[in-house]
This record gives sequence, C-alpha cells and structure tokens, in this order.
Amino acid sequence: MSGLGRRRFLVGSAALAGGATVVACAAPERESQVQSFVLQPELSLPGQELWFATTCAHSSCGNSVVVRTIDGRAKKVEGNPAFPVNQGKLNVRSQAGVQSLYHPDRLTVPRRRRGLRGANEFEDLEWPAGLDLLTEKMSEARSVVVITGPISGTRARIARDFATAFGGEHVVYETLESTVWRKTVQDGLGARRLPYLDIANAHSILSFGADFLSTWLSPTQYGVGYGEFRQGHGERGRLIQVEPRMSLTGANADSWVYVHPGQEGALALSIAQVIAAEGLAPPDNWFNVVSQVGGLDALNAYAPDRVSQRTGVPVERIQEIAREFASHQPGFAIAGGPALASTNGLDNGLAAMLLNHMVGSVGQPGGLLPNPDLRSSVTPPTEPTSFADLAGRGNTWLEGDPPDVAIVFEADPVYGMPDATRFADALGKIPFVVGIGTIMNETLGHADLVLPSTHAFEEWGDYVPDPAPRQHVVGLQQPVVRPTTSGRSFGDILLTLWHDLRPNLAPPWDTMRDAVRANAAEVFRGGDFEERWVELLKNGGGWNDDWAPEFRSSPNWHINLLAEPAFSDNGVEFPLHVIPFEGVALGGGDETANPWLQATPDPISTATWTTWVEMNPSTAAALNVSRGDVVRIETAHGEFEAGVYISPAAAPGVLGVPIGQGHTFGGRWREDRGSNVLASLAPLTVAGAGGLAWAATRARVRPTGDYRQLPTIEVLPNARNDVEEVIVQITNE
Amino acid sequence: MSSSANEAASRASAVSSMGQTIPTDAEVGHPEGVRWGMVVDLDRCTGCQACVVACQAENNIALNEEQRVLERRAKTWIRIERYWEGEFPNAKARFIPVLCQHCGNAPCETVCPVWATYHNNEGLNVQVYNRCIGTRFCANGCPYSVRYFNFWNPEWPEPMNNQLNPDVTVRTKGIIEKCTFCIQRINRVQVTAKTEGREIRSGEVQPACAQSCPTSALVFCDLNDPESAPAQLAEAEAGRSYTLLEHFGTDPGIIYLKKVDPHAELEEDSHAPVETHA
Repeated sequence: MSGLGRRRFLVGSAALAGGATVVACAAPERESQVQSFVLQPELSLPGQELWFATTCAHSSCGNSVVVRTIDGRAKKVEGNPAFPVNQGKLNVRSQAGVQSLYHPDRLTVPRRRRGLRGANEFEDLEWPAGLDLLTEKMSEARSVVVITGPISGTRARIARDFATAFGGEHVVYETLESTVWRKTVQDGLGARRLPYLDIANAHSILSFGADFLSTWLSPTQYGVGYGEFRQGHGERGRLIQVEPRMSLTGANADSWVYVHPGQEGALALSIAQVIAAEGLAPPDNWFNVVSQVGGLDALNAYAPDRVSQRTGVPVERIQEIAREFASHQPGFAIAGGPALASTNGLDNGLAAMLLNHMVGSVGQPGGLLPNPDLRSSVTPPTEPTSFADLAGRGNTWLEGDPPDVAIVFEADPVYGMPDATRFADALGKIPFVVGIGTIMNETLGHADLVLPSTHAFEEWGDYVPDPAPRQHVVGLQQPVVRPTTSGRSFGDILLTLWHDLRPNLAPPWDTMRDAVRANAAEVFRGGDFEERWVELLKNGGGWNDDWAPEFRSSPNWHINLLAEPAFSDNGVEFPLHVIPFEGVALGGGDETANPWLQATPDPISTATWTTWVEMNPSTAAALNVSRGDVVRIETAHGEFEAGVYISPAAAPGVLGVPIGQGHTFGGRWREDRGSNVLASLAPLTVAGAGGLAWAATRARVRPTGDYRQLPTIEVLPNARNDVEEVIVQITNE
Repeated sequence: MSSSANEAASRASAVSSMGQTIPTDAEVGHPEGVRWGMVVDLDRCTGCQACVVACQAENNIALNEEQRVLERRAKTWIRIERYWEGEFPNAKARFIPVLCQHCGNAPCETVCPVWATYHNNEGLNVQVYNRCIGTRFCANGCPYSVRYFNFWNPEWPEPMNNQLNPDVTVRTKGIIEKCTFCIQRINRVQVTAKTEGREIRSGEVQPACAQSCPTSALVFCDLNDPESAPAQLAEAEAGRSYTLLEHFGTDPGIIYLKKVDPHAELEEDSHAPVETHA
C-alpha cells in the first residue's frame, strides 16, 4: 500500500481493535464492533468530537464543509470557514448531506435485473459476482458511453479518459442545464470560464430570471455577497428581477418586473436603447458594442414604445429600470432560468450581456470579473452535454446504433428528459446498462446491473468550483466516516475495470485516493508534499491568486435582433404557459429522497412534500378552482396532476410548477409522490446553444373534481403583511 | 414604553399558578452580565431556509412527514414566515425568521405549573424536558407560536439514528420543545473558555441557524456586551430596529432590523402590465 489512506486506516483501526472485540453469539455484526478503551484507534476517543474538512460533491454546489463526527458517526455539516467559495456558510442541500449518508433506503449491495427494464425487479449479488458480470460485458464491448451528472477534477478526468480508452464518450447530464449561460459567457465576454459576480461591491443588479439566491449556479457564494450588497457598504444595493414567474430572488428584489415568457431579450435591448438615447452611460462604453449589434438604428427598433406590447412591460417602467440600473453603478446584468430556457434563450442572454458592456461593468469591481483558467492536470467542471446533443444520441440509439454498454453515475436522464424524446426507450436499446449510485432513481431502475456507490462523505475526490471565487480553487474530498454500506466509489470502480481490461492504457493509480493525491501533488507543487498534503486535507483544499485577472478575448456577438420565441403548439388549444422551476431544497429532483429536503417549505408557497401549481386568482376563477383543488395540466406531449396554489404573485396565464416529484424509484420518501412536470414538456431547443427550452411549453388545465389539502407551513392561506404589519419596512430614502 | 407595555411590565413580577412569585429578568438577571440574544436583519434575509434545516440537524428535531404538516403539527424551532403585500404585478413576498424570542417577560414562564420553563440568568428561556408534564399552557400563552408539542414519539428509521446529536436530548411524546439558542453550544464554549482561563470571545458562540445563514442575516450576540459586533450593529441601526409584537410587552431577546423597500411609496397602478398576454 503506497501510503496509508485514511479510509484504509479507519478499516485497519477497526481490525486492530478487533483484538479486543467481543463477539457475542448471534449478535448482529454491527453490534459486535465494541471498542476497547485500552487500545483506542488514533483519532477516536469515546464522546470526543472530530471535525473533518471535505467537499460537498453530492449537491453539485461546490461548497466545502466541515463534518462533525463523534464515535465514527457523522453528526452535523457546517460550512468550511476557510474555503473561499462558501466562506463558512451553507445552503439547505449541503446541510442535508448527513441525512443522505444515513438514508435507510440506500443501496447496500449490487443488484442484477430479473424482470423487464423499469419493472423494479432485482436480485442481490455479492460484489465479486457484480464486478465479474460488468467485466464480462465490458470485455465484449466495442463501444461504451459514460453518463454522469456534473462532475469535475480527478473524477471527471477518470470518467473522460476511461470512456476514451473503451472507445466511447463521457456525457454530462444536467437536469436544467447551464449550457446556455456558458455559451452566453463565451460569446458575450469571450471567457472560457464562468465569471465571478462581484455582488458584494455592486450597487445594482439587473437579473433576467437568474434565481441566484436559490438554485442558480452557486447560491451560497452569491448569498454571502448578497448580504454585503444589501447592508455591507454605504450605498444599499438595488436588485431588479425580470421574469415571468416570481422566483425566490424575485421575491427579494426591490423591483420585480413581470415580462412575457421569452421576451426578456427584447426588454434588455429596450433598456439598452434608453441608456443610449438618454445618455445614461458614456458613449465610449457602448459605441463599439452597439455597432457590433447593428448600431443605434437597430437598437431604436427596441425603443420602449415599440416593445411595450411585446414584452408586457409599460413604457414608463422600462425607462425607470434603465435609469435605476445605469445610475446605480457599479452593477451588472445577468440572465438565467426561463430567460435562457426559451427558444431564443441565447439571444436573451446576449442582450443582457450587452448591458454590461454599455455600463462598463465588465472586468470592473462590482461587475463581472474574470475567473482563472485551470492549470495542468486538474480537469475543470466538465461542460454539460446539451439537451439537443443528448436527445440526438438517443435518436441514434433508437435507430439501431447504440453503444454496447452504458455506465450511468449520479445522473437521471430518464426522469429529466421529456417523454417526447423517448430517452428511456433509447436507453433500452443499449444491450447492457450499469447504474452506479447511492439510492435508486428512474435511470438506475432501467439498468441491468446496479452498483452501490459510496456517499460523498465516505470517499476520496476533489472538486473544482464553477464559478470560481476569482482564485484557483480545488476542493478536496476525504472520507469522514467509514462506509456504512458495501458501496465503492465511482472512480474506484472505473479504475478497477480499467486495470483489469486495458492495463496498457490504464493510469498509474490503483485507487481514487492515489489519483487525487497525485493530482494534488501536481497542482500544489513545492516544498515537502507530505506536509502540504496534510495541510490541504485539513483546509479542505487549496487556492491561490497567482494569475492575471482579465478577460482575454473579444466578445463574439451574434444577437438575432428579430428572434421571436417559439412555443409548443398553438395558443388557442393550449392557452397557458408552463414555467417549471427548481425549488431551493429539491432542485432538479436528485435530492428528493431526503426527508429534510422534502419537508423544507418552498419559500414562496410554503408548500412541502408535493407538486403544486401556482396560479393567479383570475386564472383560478376562470377555471373555477380554489386552493387545494387537483387539476390536470395537459400539454401536447403529456399530462400531470397538481394541487392549486393561488398566488398573488403569479401572472395571469402563467403556471409555475416545481420540479422534483413524480418518482417511481428512490425509497419511502420519494416514490409515488407528486408529479414530474419535465416529462410533459415539449422537446424544443434553444437556438445556437442546444439547451432544452423548458420554458417554452404551452398547456391547458382541467379540474379533476378532487381536492387535497396542500401541505403548507402557512396556516392562514396567503397571510397579508399589509393588514397586520409583522415585517416592518422603511424606504431608507 | 406604551401603556400596554407598561401594563405587561407591571405584571412581570407575576404569581405562578402555584402561588410563587416569578422574578423578572431584571430581578434575576445581571445587567452587566450576559443576555444572549440575536439580531435579525430582514434586509439581508432571503428566506432561503438554510437556518431551518441547520436547526433541525443540530437539535434532533423529529422528521416533519407530510401528515404532520397537514395536521399543523410540524416542528420547526425556527421557521420562515412568508407574508404577501399587494397583488400581481405589484405583489411582494416578505420573509421573516421566527423562533423563540427568549422574552424577558415571557408569558410562557408564568403559566407553567411545574416550572418546566423558566428564565435563566443569561437571558435564556429554558425548557426542562423531564419536568414537563404536557399541559401545553405555555404553547397557548406564547404569542409567537414557537412552542411545539410532541404528539408522538419521534422515529428515525435505522441507520438514520446515527445522525442524532448526542449533545441534545431526544424529546418524547407528551412534552413541549422549542428553540434553546443551541444551549449545548453555549455550554461547550463556556466550558472551553473556563478551561482555558479566559472570557468568551465575541462571536465565539454560534447557534446552528446563525452559523449557516449565507447572508449573515442572523447574528447571535450578548445583548449586554457593548463591544459585541451585533450589539454595535443594533445600536448603529437603531432607526431600523424593532421587536416582534412589541405591544405585548414581552421584552424579546431578538431584535429585528427593518426591511428596506425603496419603492414602498410608489403608486401601484403605474406598474400595471400591458394587457397583451393570451
């Protein structure tokens, strides 16, 4: 063993203690591991807490955590105060990691399919039998596809190189993908990595649908900045949120502006026109970029009086937004959520980015700041595969050219891809599908072999946050407890296969720990690495500022100024817009098995445990439905049921529906609960970026006649602050 | 002080149901000593719920399964209340974290027949679980509805019980529970400071909610320590500070800083959307 791994050390410690182990007849194994008071393993004293820094890789938010352990059990997750991304703070999902670790429905042993795919009929296997089966199938395979969620660092490098070595590709699946924002950044800033949003020093933020306080990209990092933005410096920052459905960020905005779905770009260009026409920003800032999009004449086509009807925003309001944004600089504009999930999403994003160039916030404090490119061997966060790309692969598989083996890890495309793509059928064409995960999901339910993986708190790894906090950052992940199941880490499984089947192409590492350590040695060079390694583990990773801060290339503008959003089907038969959204706790649905997260109230509706539909009172009245009535929402591509939540913030004709429920796999707290809105979406794509246009589906609603009380935390439906002033406000003007 | 507050203060030296005089905070407390409290900046709070889950993880709060929510018996020692103002398109959602206010003149303390809830000399409203007999008088008396009764024994299916915090008692059926300001953390810091022969440092005690809060909207502090950063903050922000349901005269240990809304006085009609939507 090259170096004693902590995980092996813990196992070894237990074996050592075995000398003093009392084994009672017929006692369950877990009760037989009695610890000797005389021969204590290092790092373990009864009742003494120990804290381990690691990375919260399971929630894909890039937070570094410190985990409190007592007697070898994880008790509490806290933010790592040393880590520059989350600075000691945590969001809901990171907090709940410990509950996923000890989830009673976790996969404990390998399972082989016995019935039809998706029928949830499996038999348990021993690990050697499971690995033998996988090895046999892989040895016969001519091509393989590795499908994972968003992963980075050593894990991503192994997945990518493994797939290449076996004649295949690594595909990265995100439920609501960041593809369009990444493309916006590439084209609008000329940057390869996502920029740092200097929220703390901004005096204004103009957000087109980006729910950055809840789920968008790096909400904990943004939350830390937001506190300072509001009350951390002399001028209180102003937040303007433009979107068709009020998000959590919208609820916190000083100005929340409703815009018709898909018209965010037209509104952004109209704001740009006001800035130019009224001279709200120096022409030196904007003359060149405006020239690149067609000059003032082109912009004048978006004068407020010409787009007011199209966007649904009054002329005066557009002018107010432009003046407020331009007069409170430094500040920046961003786009996300439904703004980028229309068929013209890339245009919307670029139009928002144009505003940054006009007010001169690119590369300036309080604006959008560049992040460093990654060095040497560390693999950056793998670029998500676009919806169009994945759907195209699915079509190829359906047409008779599937790979021989699919390996799926921490991704659930069968749940997240619209039914219209027939992705489950496409996966069914692959002769052998192996799923690796901690708990069942829809995709693992369609696998031939399911292998239990270790939890993030039980394994080695590293993580490259994206967006980074203006520093080179690599977060390290180490086991904080001994594995509670027989699971093995994704990286270790791939390395084992690799060495067995392609030894001449295999990397020099036998285990993930070796791989992570070797990569860290390459990135953090200098001095005695043994000492450095311990320091890195203690800090939860490494970071430094050794780089030149600038955006290096020029923007590549190609805003299609005339692009109108397209929607599924006709507006007569399907008159309402469906706007799916990720909740602060359940996100895209991958954490739905966790009861803490299920019970966490949605901030807007305070609803828990179910699927609801936010509806304007006038829309509800037209449909003759009330709070709690169950309605069937029909699109041209499917239908689902939801309970009505009448929201004063919902726009007439717009249905806000949370993502995350409607699973048939995943344990007692996830299965057979609520509905999956994603399944019924139209398979429309964002032009130029290939993302799923998930905000472009029209629908109609039919009452079912059923009523189910909504499980909300609010006792009095829609309690008013303007009647009983609980929350006191001042204007500060 | 308002007349209602005066009246409440005059009742503060109340007589319990057992005929014993309940001393007020001012009588038992140490004006120069510690009074634990919290400053909650509503202008920073986003309603993100991080504090809610942090509290549940730290304090072994039973799982709030759907049926419990439907029965209005979910336990959340800290909860985010959401209030609406206005109507679309000018609707505004307002958030406020509500937890035990650790009142100086706590209505819950005077009604407990068995002294299960009392006020300690550090300003904490303390709940002694093994004294509680479950009359729920305290929950009825609390104007903030932050006391929760255990209608069932809590259950954590194995191996979920491994996550339980050994520093915090698991409450059984028939008793009241509520926010303790993470008293186990306060005790731990006090023991550490005493062992090291020093005073507790400002900011050294962090309840789970305040520790997790991404925007630092919740700041725990000794309200009697003029040097503590939150105390200075409250002083500096005196124009924004208020206490919840002040007219009850409960002398809360939680100071809220008012939400700032620069558009509060705008004419609402000026923002009506253009009627073009299908």
